[in-house]
Amino acid sequence: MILRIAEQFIIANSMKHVVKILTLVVAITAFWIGLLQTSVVPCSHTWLLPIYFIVSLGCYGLLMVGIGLICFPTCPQEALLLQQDIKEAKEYLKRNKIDVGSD
Amino acid sequence: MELADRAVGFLLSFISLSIFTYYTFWVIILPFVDSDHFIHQYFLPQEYAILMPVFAGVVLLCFLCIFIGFVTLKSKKKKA
Repeated sequence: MILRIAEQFIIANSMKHVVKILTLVVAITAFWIGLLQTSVVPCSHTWLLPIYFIVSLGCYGLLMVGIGLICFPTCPQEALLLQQDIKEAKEYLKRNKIDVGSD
Repeated sequence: MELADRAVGFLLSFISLSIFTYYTFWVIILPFVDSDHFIHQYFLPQEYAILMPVFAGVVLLCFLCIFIGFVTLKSKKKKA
């Protein structure tokens, strides 16, 4: 029953999220049409500029992912300690006759 | 291992930067250049500047829908 309540909570929250995103999209479209009407933007670029912004946003996202990959911290000492922990845990479990699996 | 990660990251950022500069050049700088400049032969005609991102977006959407449908079918088959 708690699972059902949690499910309803998640569905309601994601609906609120979708409504928020849709409102944002409608607001931006209204802003763009307003700019077009008052001739701040030339009429030949109606479709070109939004597509340009979307493409540049996608490029920016890719760039952030690439930069994050390059500067990813690997912590080699922590990796060594982790391997030792795994070995100790496996020996302990094997001593107590529990199947560890990957040996 | 981290060298492979770095290589992939570098490749991704290079691709994204090149797409960004090419597209910026195409959409913003090229209309202000005289039409008999030599640089125009390196860029496709301007209609493609709209068609190509829209086409790529449609392809991405189709791929997403197919992937979601595939995963849903596979999980349903496993349950049944």
